[in-house]
Amino acid sequence: MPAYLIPSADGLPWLTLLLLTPLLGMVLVGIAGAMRLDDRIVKLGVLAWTGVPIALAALITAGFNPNATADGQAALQFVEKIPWIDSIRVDYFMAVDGLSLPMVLLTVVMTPLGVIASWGVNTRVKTHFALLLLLEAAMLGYFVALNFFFFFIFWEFSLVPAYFLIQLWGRENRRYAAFKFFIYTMAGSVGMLLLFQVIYLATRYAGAPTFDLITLGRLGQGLPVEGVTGSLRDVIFNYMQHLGVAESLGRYPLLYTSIAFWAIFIAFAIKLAVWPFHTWLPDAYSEAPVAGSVLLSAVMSKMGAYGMLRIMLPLVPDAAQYFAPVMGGLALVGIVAGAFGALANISGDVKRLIGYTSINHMGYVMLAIAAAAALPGGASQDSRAIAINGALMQMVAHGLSTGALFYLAGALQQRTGSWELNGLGGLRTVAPTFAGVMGMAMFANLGLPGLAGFVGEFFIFRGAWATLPLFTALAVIGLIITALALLIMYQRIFLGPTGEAAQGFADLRPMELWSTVPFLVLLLILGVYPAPIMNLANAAATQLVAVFLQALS
Amino acid sequence: MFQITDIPRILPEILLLVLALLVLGSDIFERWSYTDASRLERVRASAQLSTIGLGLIFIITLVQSGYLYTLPVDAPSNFLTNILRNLQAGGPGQGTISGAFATDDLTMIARLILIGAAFLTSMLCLDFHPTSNPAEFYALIIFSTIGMCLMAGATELVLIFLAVEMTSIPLYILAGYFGDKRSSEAGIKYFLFGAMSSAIMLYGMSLAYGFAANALGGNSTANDLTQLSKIAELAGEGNSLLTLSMILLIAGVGYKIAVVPFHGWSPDVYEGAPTPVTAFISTASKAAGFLVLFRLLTVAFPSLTGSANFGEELGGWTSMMAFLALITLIIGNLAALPQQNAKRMLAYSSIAHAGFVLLGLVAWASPQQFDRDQGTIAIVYYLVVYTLTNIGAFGGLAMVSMAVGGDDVRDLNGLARRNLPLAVLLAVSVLSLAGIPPLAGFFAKFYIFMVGWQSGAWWLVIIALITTIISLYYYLRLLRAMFIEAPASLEPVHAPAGMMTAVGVSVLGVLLIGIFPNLVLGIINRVQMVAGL
Repeated sequence: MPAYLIPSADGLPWLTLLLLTPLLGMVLVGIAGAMRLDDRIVKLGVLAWTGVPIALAALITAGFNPNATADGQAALQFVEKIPWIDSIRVDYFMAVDGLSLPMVLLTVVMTPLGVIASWGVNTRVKTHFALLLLLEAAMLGYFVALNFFFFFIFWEFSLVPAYFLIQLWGRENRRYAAFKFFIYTMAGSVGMLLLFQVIYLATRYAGAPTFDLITLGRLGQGLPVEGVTGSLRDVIFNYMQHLGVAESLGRYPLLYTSIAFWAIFIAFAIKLAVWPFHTWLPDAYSEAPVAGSVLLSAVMSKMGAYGMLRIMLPLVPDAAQYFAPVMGGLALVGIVAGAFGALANISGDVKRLIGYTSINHMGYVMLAIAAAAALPGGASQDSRAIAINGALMQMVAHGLSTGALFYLAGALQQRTGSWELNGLGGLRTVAPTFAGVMGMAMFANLGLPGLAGFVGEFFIFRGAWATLPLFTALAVIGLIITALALLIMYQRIFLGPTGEAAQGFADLRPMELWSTVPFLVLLLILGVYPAPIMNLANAAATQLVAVFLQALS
Repeated sequence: MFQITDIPRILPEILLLVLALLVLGSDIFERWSYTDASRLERVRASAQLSTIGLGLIFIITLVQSGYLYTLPVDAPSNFLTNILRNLQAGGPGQGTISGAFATDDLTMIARLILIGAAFLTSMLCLDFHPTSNPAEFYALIIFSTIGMCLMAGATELVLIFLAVEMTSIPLYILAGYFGDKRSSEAGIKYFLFGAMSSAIMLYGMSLAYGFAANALGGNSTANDLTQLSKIAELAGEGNSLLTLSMILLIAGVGYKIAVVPFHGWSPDVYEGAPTPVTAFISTASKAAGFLVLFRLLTVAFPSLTGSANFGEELGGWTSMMAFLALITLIIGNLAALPQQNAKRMLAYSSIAHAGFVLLGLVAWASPQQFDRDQGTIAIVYYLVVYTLTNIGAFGGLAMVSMAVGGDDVRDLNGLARRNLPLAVLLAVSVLSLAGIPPLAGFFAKFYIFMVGWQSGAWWLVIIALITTIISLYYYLRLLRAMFIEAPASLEPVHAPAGMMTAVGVSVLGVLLIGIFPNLVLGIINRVQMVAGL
């Protein structure tokens, strides 16, 4: 194995274990179903079971060396690599690095909240919880699989449990929302699937056929790969010449990497809900059951950003650099439009409002990725790495705070029986704890200093300022408008004269309180002391952006 | 020449023949009367005999193929190893038998697919009671299987024709078995289409023969002019007579595999025929048709291969296949969208799947042998997956229609609440048809698309992908009916054990070879040596 692949120290397949635990949990739920166990026992059992992946992830983090780099890239650790399909050189290749480990942690931490949020589910309980575990397995697999074949399988397969969660337990409009969500993501990833088949054939033509994302990433960044000369751009271009496509479309290597770039970008931009690919998001988030909203917003939307960091930047850095202003522009529109979209919903649906703020927050992540890739305007490796670090931080912070917000919105709906913000007001007097907890989640979400959201946004703005100053300056508008929208939302629920809903409105139950407190504590800790996440990701981010220090095209 | 040592090489066919006669003959010894009890007894006896027999023949074929275990040359000689050695001496390899029947790896794998499909079908029929003459019902399935195995290995025109007829005639009867209005319509329609196509195919064959005889200067003493490799040998460059013969042959075989525009019969036949028979027609008979087409085109017409690339001059059978694949994919998938009857919907879906397999044939547009072999592997893998998946889907549907009394999409409503295991099995089959990872249908499509890229027909791959997305709509409709819609009644749907096992086996296969494609790809990789190439 090359030096940048490090198997686990004790030889155990930690990541496979991590992946299999939720699936095993699913089997256990099935057994419980066959034994006709009480639903309540199943709920408790699933909640306890979600602790196992947390423990495994914690052990993996403990054994992870964040500073390991080798051969010009961050080292991949806990590597498992087994030949899987010989005829097309597919390996079962699992590993984590600084980019994927924060996402793995986020996934395992958010799943229990999803489970708790589903406590009120009364119909087809076992199916619901089995689907939640299946979704967790698919998302975990997505973050640790490093062969395109498995990566894509998990990517697509995560849609199936999400689809059923929305379809079966969603609100009135669920059919439309689930369908749109499924078809959008599926259609978006088609281009990527085709692209990787072409890349495989191109590398085969070059003499080293592979679906290995790390090898392809090294090729794309111009790092040495055994058996191939030249970068991925040359490999693709040579193959296009061989096919004769270059004769008709033109002899510009950048053209072909650009096509590749757009194929990848659209697939992930849909998932990340970058404007104008975002229209599925408000529908899916608002129509999904609470657990669906929590997991969709907290983890699934991050799958898009992770894909961009894992595939788009390393494989086609030249095209990413070339189109960085376009990405930045789309990000900016998304930031502002998302913020105004949220503002437009202040007297409407609370879930839609939170959904739109998600579009706004994912816009910052997009902006950071664009800034990391943008042309060198004297920006140092540090600024770019800071932007990527900020993006990862923002993803984690947004996952925690939006998950908590959706959960609390669900609790609110349970009490009032409606998702509308109209007719509420003054609830702070009857439910002070509720108001406090929700206030803190909201402030974390809008980026108040001292809470984790601020750290992410601060780093993103600091990093992006160096390469895309204009976009960054304009993006600040989004900050203000989102803050406005969230504050008005808070005001309408908790402040002002007491509305009808306040009568008999119960404060947070201990269980609800204690299931949100860990997230608030995490947000506070990461807000004051962000080093745990930053240290994990820093080496990977620094190596990732090294290629962008020069003008590539 | 046919020699006595060639007998082990056609052992599976011989065993099938024996089994079919046994099923027919043993029925005589059953109690004959018109009471329901005695009829049930006859059904049971025939069904069990044919299921067990087919299972045994499948195992014998598997042992003979040596794919799981090949006896080492230096193994000690004792009773067991002697049997094994003699059996495996007739395994894949060696030349064709009298130039007419190839026993290469392709035939061997095809036999496994076909006999396996017949086995699962007869298992589906364990609880699916034919109304009259049960022995004939099962014997016809086995007779038809013999024809299919012969189709898969035939390398000579006359044998191809005989094999196609031997496959089709039992299927006409099976399709019309119920004798009610729909079933009779299916039988007659299938028969008329089949007869017409046979005539067209025969005409193409006679042209090919005439061409070969002509190329030898009218020397009529040669008796090998109908062999596929002989025709290829005599073919010069760009002979229009040969091209015409090829087109007629494609049209003739095209009906067997139900590609547009030769597909008109299939939705009606699929809908009208007893559902297990539909499963059989849509999988085994189609797979055999593809193998005939494959051998015909690649062995007999290599000089007319042509190209499917844009920018190059189109021509030859690869561009014809590309064109057929194009219209098959588009029409198959679009026509499935408005269907209200689930069987009809799956019929159109099965037409669309034929388009994907054709894409594998387009691989021959590439001049490199490696690319062509990949195409062959992709086709065979697709056929394995498709056979398993469709038997699962139609088998599940058969159970629903037996219990509910109809096979419309709305009859599936709320199936999840009426019988969850059945709904899950059916859902996995449908998802695999739609190509959702990690099920086998995904990898089959993945491989076929890659082969399409290799061959240069990228425009076709893109269209195939778009139609795949469109097809999601009707597959999701089936899922929605089963899991989302409210059931018409909450009465549980009874799922008989035999049928459930058959469907379970196919779904398990779909899952296994989807997650571990290497299991079967390792075997399929051997098809690269095709007789006569």
